Amino acid sequence: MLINMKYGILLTALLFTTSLLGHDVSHSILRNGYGVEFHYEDGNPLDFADVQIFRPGESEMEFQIGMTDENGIFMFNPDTLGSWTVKVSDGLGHGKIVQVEVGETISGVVNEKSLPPLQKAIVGLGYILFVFSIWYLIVKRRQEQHAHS
Amino acid sequence: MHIPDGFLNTPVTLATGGISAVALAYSLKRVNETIKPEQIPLMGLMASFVFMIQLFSFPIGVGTSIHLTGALLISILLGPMVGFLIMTVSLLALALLFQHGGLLSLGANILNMAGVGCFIGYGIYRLIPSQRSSLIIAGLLSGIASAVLCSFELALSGMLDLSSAFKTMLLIYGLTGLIEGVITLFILEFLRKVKPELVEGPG
Repeated sequence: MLINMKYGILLTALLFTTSLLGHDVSHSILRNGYGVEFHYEDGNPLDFADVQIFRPGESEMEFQIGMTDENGIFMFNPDTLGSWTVKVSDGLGHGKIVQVEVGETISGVVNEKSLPPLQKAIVGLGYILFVFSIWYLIVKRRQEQHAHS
Repeated sequence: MHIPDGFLNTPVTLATGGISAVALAYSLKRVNETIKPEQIPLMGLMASFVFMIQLFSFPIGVGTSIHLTGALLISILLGPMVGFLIMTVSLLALALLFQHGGLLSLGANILNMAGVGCFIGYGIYRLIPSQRSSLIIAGLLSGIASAVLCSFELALSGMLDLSSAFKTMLLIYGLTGLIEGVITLFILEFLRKVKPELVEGPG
């Protein structure tokens, strides 16, 4: 009777230990991965913005969802090669969809090619001047035709 | 509020694009019937002004930056239909040249900023007799209307949780509209002193 009781206690202890092991969380610290940094036009970070990550060729089922940190950075660790889609939204109608090319090796920082603000302003004003000049010529010509007829 | 491509689903993109295209065609037809060549340089100047104020944003101290649209000002100075055309040209420039908002979502952006600012904002401005109050109320309500419209477009496309983000949208864009109303008031007061005939224009 005493022996049976000892076996019973031992068995219960073993089962309890297995159950504890099943809920244990182990971890590794990774030093690789891809990060995307988002910021507004004025340089302020897109902080705590919603992020969705999609595997190459996937547009419905997310690989990962999360939030940018207070510096507007989101890190992820892709498990296949190809073009990954990163979708960010600040919940106010601002956001962006970025394609991150994942190759065999990580190749440093890839900056978005963007014109400086002054150049943007000059290009935009040139475009507007062009549109309204064309409109002016059309209306002027129409007026002259009316005057002749 | 420049919604990028990929944020709106197909039905919302088609619906907003369709409404904007109809409003654009109608405004272009009406404006073309009455416009004189000498009015166009002023329109170009106002389009440049609108483009510049939309290009640069500034922080408002609640964790985000805003930019003005200029829709209320140009609608008062040149009329809502001319204002709508100018806003469309500016939004197209921002989308084409700098990816401020997508090309597929251009219809939604035109509707949210140009449509609301030029037609709803201007309509409210005309309804209220006192100019000072009317500008501030028109700015505030058009900001709120833009936020409501934008929120529903994004929520219908599954990109926004209305329960969590709607209040923030209303707060931010209501505040933006209020600032827009106050700045429009200052500009109109200034123009009334230096060039009163401009303020007594078609608007």
